Amino acid sequence: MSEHIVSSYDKDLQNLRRSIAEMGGIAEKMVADSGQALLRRDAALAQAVIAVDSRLDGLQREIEEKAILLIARRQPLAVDLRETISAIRVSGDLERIGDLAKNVAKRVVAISDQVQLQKIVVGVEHMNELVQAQLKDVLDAYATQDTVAALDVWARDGGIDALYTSLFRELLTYMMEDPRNITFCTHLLFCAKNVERIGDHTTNIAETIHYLATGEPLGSERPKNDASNYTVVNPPSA
Amino acid sequence: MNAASPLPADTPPAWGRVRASRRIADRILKVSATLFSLISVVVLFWILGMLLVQGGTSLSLDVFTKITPGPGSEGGGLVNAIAGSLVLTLLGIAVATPVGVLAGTYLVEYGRGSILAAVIGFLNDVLLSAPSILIGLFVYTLVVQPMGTYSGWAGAIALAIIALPVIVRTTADMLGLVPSTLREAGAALGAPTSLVTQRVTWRAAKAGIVTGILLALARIAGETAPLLFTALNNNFWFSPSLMGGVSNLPVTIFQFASAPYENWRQLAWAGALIITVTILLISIVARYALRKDIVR
Amino acid sequence: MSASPIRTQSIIGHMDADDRARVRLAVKDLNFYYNTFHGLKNVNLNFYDRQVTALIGPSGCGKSTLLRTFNRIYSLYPEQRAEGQILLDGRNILDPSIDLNELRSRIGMVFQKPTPFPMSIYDNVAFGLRLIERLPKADMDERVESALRRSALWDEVKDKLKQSGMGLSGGQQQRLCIARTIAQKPEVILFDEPTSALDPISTGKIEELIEQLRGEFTIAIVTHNMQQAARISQFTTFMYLGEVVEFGPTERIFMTPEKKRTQDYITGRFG
Repeated sequence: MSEHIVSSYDKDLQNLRRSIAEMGGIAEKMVADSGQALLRRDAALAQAVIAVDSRLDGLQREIEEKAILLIARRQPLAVDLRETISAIRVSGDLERIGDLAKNVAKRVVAISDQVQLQKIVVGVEHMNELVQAQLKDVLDAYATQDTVAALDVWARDGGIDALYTSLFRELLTYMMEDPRNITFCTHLLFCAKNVERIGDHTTNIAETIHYLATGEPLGSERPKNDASNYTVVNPPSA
Repeated sequence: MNAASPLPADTPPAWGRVRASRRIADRILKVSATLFSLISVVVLFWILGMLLVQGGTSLSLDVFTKITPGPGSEGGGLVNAIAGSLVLTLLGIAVATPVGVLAGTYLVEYGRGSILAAVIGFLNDVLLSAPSILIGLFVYTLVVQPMGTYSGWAGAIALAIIALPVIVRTTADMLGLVPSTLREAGAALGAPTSLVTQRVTWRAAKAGIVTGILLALARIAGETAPLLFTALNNNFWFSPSLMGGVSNLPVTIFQFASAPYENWRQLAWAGALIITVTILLISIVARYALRKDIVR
Repeated sequence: MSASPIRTQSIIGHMDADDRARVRLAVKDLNFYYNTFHGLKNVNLNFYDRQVTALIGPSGCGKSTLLRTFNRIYSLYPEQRAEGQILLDGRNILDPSIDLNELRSRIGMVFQKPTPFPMSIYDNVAFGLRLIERLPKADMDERVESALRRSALWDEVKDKLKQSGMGLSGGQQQRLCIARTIAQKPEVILFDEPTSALDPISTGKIEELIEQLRGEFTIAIVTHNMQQAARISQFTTFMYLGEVVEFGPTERIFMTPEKKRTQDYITGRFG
């Protein structure tokens, strides 16, 4: 895209992009660290994740302010307007991703001295890794406005959903087997749910990228494989 | 909203950067322009002052009631000359106004861009600066000779010919100042050019055109040369048919001023004062009319 | 008049751009020349019934020229000529047999600078009306009042109808010109940058007015203000160097233009 006649306009848009990139970096690190903290039940790392979230919130407010100011001052149109609106939306998604990672970290602190079911923790961590990859890819796609890559992330998220459904089943089963597992498993269930939600936010960002590049909303429904809403596990008849 | 970068801490440039020679040149031009304008104004006021002193002392009720005295007779006034001048000037302007305004209108409203209009405009400007004695001769050849007598009619025609280019030029200039968007607005409502001209353009330029007519009036009120060959002059009341010589102020002044009789010379001064004051009044009215138009 | 004349409910265009509406004015293969300069090149364009179509583009792109072909006002200047067809309800208005005065009473025009005539406010409005109809005084009064009311000017001038139209403020003068135009009940109204000489409040009032007039007239507006085009039009045409680059519903032109030139222009990247 060629440059604006008013060069400070370009600077304003670049500032927005830079802030989004910074938010993306922080969010990525929070997701990765929360996964590591869960895997190793590392309360110190979890505390660090919780602490950094305020920085993400601050950045989101800053981006919103900048975008509103840019709209008021420059009256952006077409691609510029879409970019400004997209910045607001993406920063919102990244802020939510940060909140979800923070929530995982809080649960890690809570369960760090609980019974351990490493097998299922590894399952959640695997989900987390997939989501990390998705987040990284979608942020790259945003930086380059690559709709193909964005659509790929959008389609991939179905895998996370499927994984979550199976984890859901598994956790219910553990809880039924031994009530002492319930606290730990419930926290873990929420962690898994949080990770799944992070995946959903990456697809939101992918949709925003599509809108940014084409001006059209993504029409069709995203393929969803999250069947946990309908999942019922009956206790073994005693 | 970038962090405000601190301004460079160096001292601002010292005062007095403008070069001295520049300032001196400026001073010289200002002083010389003022000086020369003063000189011209002094000359002007000298003339006016002399007129007021000489003419003012000669002014009396007789000037406006008695007719011009014959050679060697005492007293007398200018009433026949004043009346004659009024008649000739008004007749002249009455002829020149419709012709001039319509010709000016043609130049701007109809002939714009055409060769004919360009030629007419150019010839008009030539006529504008033609010596008035030439016009007197022209009318003498064309009117006085065939008729076999001097007449007020010939004088009025000569004055009309002098007033005409002034009116044409000011009308054309004033119409030219009317923004073309006004004409377009008229045309855009479906009004034909003639209607737009009458109802819109003339109205918009009205004050300017009237000013032009008044200035032409002032110009011909003081003309002497064209009347010498046409209306001539005499010391009697002119006939109502305006045939034969018609007394008038400028030629009377011309004849009386160089005469050997003291009362004639006094009357010449009085006549000069009357003409000057009249022209001054017309000019002031014209100025006022134009000002009103511009301020609107 | 509402407290705030500037509407805010819709940022970009109107959702009701309706290209199934009847084509009122159809431009076909239009070429325009100033002497030898080719001012418009093969313009093909439709203007829809009771829709506002905005013409945008950089200075000298031909948008005003295009507007000025619709009432053939260009023919005041002998060095200008148009070739091609402009169909008003199927009738070619470029045909030499068309009566220009009649055409111009059917296609009204409002100019960039307010152009009140040097006469009373009443006479300004009655001027165009008197050209096409001879009305008894009472009917004339009624028509003048109605035109002034619809131009949102009546309340401001009802007590001084006999005063000169030149004494009004710029925004009022422009609304007077609109009143003068709509008094003739034209079918199409052309606006040539009608607010570029006005302050924001007056601009808002004119925009509000155009929005209201849309219910009755087919409107074409040339504007340099892209936000204005986005606010008041249903269709937008982007022109460049005498050609139509892109035409479409305003919403699409300003959100997702198809041509790069259009995008560069509306986002301020030209040159």
